[in-house]
Amino acid sequence: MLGAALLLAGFVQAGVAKETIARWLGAESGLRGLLIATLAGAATPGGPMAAFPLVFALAAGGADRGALIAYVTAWSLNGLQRILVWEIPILGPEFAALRFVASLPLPILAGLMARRLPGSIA
Amino acid sequence: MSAAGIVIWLAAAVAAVLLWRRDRKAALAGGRFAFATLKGVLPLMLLALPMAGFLAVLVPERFAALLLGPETGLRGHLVATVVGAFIPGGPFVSFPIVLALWSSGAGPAQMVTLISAWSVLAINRVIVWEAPLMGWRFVALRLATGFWLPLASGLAAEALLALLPPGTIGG
Repeated sequence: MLGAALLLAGFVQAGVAKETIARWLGAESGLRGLLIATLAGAATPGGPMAAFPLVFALAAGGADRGALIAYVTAWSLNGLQRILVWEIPILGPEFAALRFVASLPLPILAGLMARRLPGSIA
Repeated sequence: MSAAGIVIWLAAAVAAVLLWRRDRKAALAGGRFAFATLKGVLPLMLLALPMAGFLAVLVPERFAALLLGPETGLRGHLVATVVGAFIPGGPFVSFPIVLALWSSGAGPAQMVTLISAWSVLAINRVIVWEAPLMGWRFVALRLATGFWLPLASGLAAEALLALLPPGTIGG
């Protein structure tokens, strides 16, 4: 599993041109970049061994910290696979819907905050 | 089955029909994927649900209601934030714990806070995965931008619950 995730991260880095990642998820990508990162995070299935290698690859590929934070936050708060496979069966669709809606704007807000904080990462 | 359950089954059926008409191979692959996931999840689910039942009996009713009940206000959300942050493991650990607390008298909005804290703060995941792979600077940035999210989601859930007719989301 970890091997597959690392391979995938490698392929992303090798296959997707740095300019492409920077254009879609870079510092100049604006609100649209945060929205794309949020959707990608929610769509990423699996646990931390799958998501973090991808975050690492995106960071190396030119994604800015706002997009990275939005991605990780969306994956952890509202990963669709976790909602469908675990949350709805165990806690019920009504509760899952309540939590989903209550958390929906948060990845974008966290991403906006990350862009405004001083200092820099990777 | 609840109305929402029927909606999800309908959505799955519509997706299956649409995909089948566009690309039969993809539709079969989707079915195989669902079956493979089910095979992986089912054994855990068979452990998780009885675990939730046992926990619900073990957690004294007054304890969950007192600390995390619907009337506990801000203090309940803060307790839920701390408890959630320290729950380790995947959804097959956390969701049964939430189910047990909920059926022992915890409020649904407080449980939203708890799941968000487990998702976002995730002390265990930070130590095992995030810090080694991304470095502590990234962890610091993520916690600096994320520490308030559990409370925000819980308060948003409170606001949504106030708009819904009472009993829509029962324990």
